Amino acid sequence: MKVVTFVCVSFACLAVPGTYLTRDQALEKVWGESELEKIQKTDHTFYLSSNSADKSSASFHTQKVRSKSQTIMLHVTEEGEIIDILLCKFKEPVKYKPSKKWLNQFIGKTLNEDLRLKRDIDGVSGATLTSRATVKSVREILTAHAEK
Amino acid sequence: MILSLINITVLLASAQGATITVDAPEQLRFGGYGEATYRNLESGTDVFDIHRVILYMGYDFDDTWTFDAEFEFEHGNETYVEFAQIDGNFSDEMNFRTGHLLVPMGLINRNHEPTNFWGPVRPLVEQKIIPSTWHENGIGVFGTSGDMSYEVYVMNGFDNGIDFSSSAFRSGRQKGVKADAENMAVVASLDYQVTPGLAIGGSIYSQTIESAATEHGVDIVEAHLQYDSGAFRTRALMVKGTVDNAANLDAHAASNDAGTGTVWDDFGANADDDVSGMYVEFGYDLMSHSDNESLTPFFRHETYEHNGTDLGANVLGVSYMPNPNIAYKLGLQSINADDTENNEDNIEFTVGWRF
Repeated sequence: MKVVTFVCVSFACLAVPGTYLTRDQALEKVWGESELEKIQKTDHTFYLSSNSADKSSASFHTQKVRSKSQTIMLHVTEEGEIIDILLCKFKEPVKYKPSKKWLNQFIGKTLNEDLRLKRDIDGVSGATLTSRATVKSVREILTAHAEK
Repeated sequence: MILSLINITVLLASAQGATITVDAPEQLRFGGYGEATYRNLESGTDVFDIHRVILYMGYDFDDTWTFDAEFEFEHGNETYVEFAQIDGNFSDEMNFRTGHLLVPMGLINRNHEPTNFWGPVRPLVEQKIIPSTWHENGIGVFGTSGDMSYEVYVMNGFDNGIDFSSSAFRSGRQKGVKADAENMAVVASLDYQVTPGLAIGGSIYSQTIESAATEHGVDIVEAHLQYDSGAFRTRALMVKGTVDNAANLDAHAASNDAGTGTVWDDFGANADDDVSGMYVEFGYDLMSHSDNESLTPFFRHETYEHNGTDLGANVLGVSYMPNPNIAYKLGLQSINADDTENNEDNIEFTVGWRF
């Protein structure tokens, strides 16, 4: 009887919608409903708000973790300092998903040799591949951003 | 069926010496891991074992429903399904899992690939008390909320053939093979990311099994932490397990047979109702400047207490990873029983991989 009750409660909770962010939803979290400009640097598209004076920009990168991919959005200042990092899609098992607290390590960082695991960035406990994939994505975006 | 067709294609192409190109469907994923271990044992025959080779396969039915499985070849001649589960991925907070599942306890059992831990072999505590790799059939929910994650399952637990007095819980695993499901177990775990580098967690297991004599409540409680700071990492785990009236378990008498002369023979003469253990380990990556390589000297200390005898085990070793998915691990293991003359110094070496 206990098992039956447990399963019923479980099914009742399954109606919660998914939490993946589309590109537009992620950009809206940064600038709200705003007119956006696009700048292409190497293979990366950077989005800027026409209404914002700070010239910050945001870009996306998708990286394979183990057998599935994750997509992050990085919001950076004109000088290349990370303002925020958002996990938009994570297809690996949820236990490997990096927490917001872990992702917040990147805030305030810029592209340099120490922006790597085991230096300025601590690994995610039990999720080494997630840590590596995230650092790789961040470095890719910042490298593209540094292109003139 | 898709997997079979792909394999046939590869075999035919190989036989003809042709270049092999396999266009697997985008929804189909492959992976695997394994380890070969050499153990130079002070009391016992040295052994070089292809301990396990595991093939992983996953399939996405759509954005919500997925299938994931691992198929294990152990010691070269034993085959098991390590897990085979259908997940309904509905939200971060609440997802649904059914099938053959990993029991969500401890640090190793859920992340048991050899590249995830330093020692050539897993900690004794996570072999005997949390009997990794521990997998049974079950149904339940899992998810994350903020910095917390959880798993809760109802599973077929141990069967009543458990030989608790000599091998703690390891002999009670059913591995989901026509499992006795008369008395289901409830397993729950909770993990919390305290800071970017510090994660803590714990889990509980509860079940009642029946022997010819009586009913036995079985409970396991475990807590763990992992702390990463730059090139330094430490892990610690404490676990306690209890079995009511362990002396009356059906398998207890069989456990008192003549032993092999190892320190483990000290367990079995008695039948205490509980077993407990802990370990702590430290390591420092000397090649943290490298993106791919790591060279980590490490030290692990663990204790194991059962049937009135305390064991202490130390492992001093080094793990070299030329690539994040390949590990060469060498360790000197020293096991000491406090109240006896039984001591062992073993040398262990493992090559492990994951892809």
